[in-house]
Amino acid sequence: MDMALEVRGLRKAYPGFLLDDISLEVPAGSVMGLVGPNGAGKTTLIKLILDLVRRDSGTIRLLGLDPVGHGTVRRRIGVVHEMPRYPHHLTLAEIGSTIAPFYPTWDERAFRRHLQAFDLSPRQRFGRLSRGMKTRFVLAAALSHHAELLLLDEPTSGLDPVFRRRLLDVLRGELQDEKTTLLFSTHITGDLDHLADYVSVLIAGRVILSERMDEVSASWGVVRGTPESLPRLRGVLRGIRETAVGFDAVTNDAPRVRKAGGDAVVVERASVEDILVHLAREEKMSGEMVNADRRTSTMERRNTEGTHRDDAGLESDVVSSRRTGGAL
Amino acid sequence: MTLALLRMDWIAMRGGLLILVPFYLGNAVLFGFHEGSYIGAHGVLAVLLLLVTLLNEDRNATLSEVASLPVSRRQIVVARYAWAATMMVYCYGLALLYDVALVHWIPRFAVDSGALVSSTRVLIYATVVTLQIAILLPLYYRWGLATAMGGLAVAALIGLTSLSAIVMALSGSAWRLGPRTAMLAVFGRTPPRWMTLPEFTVIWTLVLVAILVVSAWLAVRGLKAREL
Repeated sequence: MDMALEVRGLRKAYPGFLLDDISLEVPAGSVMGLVGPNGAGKTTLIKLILDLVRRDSGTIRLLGLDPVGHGTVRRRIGVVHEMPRYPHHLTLAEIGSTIAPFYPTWDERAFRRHLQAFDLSPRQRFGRLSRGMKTRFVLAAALSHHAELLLLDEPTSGLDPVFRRRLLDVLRGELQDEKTTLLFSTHITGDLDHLADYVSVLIAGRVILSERMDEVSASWGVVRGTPESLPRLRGVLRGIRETAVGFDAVTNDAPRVRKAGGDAVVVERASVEDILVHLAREEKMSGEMVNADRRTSTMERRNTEGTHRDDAGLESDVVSSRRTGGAL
Repeated sequence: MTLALLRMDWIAMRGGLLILVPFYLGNAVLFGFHEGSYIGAHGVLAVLLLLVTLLNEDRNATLSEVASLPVSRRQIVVARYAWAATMMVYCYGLALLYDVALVHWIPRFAVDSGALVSSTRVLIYATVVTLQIAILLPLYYRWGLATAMGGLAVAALIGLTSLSAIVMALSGSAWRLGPRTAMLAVFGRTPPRWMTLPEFTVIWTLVLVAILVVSAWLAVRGLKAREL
């Protein structure tokens, strides 16, 4: 299978943030949704792919080429940044005319057609557009040079629901020939249902999940059950939230949990949002556990030194449920 | 691609270039300065136009959008140096037009009209512009506009005296009128002989070209290291 985008072992460190060991594969002609909470590293990842940010290590193959040293590969790519930026005093037609010479395949008629489809006038000034309108304009430009790969960073952010649906319909229309590949980041997980073939979940700088959408639908489930059933299921549950009356969590082995849980649990189909919320919770708890471990070691050290200090402990089982795969 | 980038600057800035027209009109009506005597000042205007371009780019944060186009960072920098050179020629041309018009309407200015296109005047002008560009652009591409303007201000404070002395020396007779303390301390009351050699124009032009090349190289390195 030809890959439009391959990312392997990508790493980028900033003070206080680490994008670590990112690996992704986007087959040519497919659509991948990159979801994650704010600050997960989605924009940084797209900037790394575009070589706007320097990677510390790892490899990137963009349409078969490393973007570092192969800037011309961007002729075959359409890009929409999260915050589109062009000179505010220029009209959309003027901006189009400045972009066109960079793309040998620029199609002025398609550009005008997309502007019209997105309710934009070529005479409008960029600075007068709302954020959603700016995104529409940049998307119109990105679609006007018949790009093989579209990289869209939060394209639906700031759009009203009606236009969001229209934009997704336009994208679906563009992708019908199955020659164009799309990677788009979003924190609106509902967008994926309309478009995506693959989903990658990025949380706290790590890819927690990268699977086909149909596999996600088949294997992942939301699990709700009684407190008594939790101990025997804990090994295959992720992002467990315990309450006085029971628990809820997600699993990537729904048939197995259904079988093992019996009547004590309810397993429903998990949406990407369910998975994202629970995995984000798991990551947060894991981070807190690491901090708690550090605090505990410090406390033990201090105790050894004769200093007594009370500290809260956390149930280690919760963390042991991370990274499932363990037997029931 | 460099031409396409240059065209991008032109489309974004073409309205801004006209800001010098009211300046010249006001200058002519209110002061009637003979610009041939103040050719160095036009270098400042050329840098001012370059600064407006950078300010636009910085304010709208368009650099990341430009870097996402199918261009290398070297091409981005080369295009900007080409734009700076265009501003240099544009401002000199405007100064020339202004002087020709002034001489035409007010004949008493005709006394020194030929001097505007002399090699010395061109060299003075080129020196003023080149040195400012050479400081401004590498700092801009590595650290952004605020640092670049700060750097230019510091360089101006440190270098103004000596630079002015060199410029005065290039214009020969004006040297004795230039109370440039630092240079006087170094060279005495008359410019050193090497500055007055006939070959100096060629040598100085080569020095300016070398300064620009090194500056552009630093700017490319700066932009390559920068995260957008």
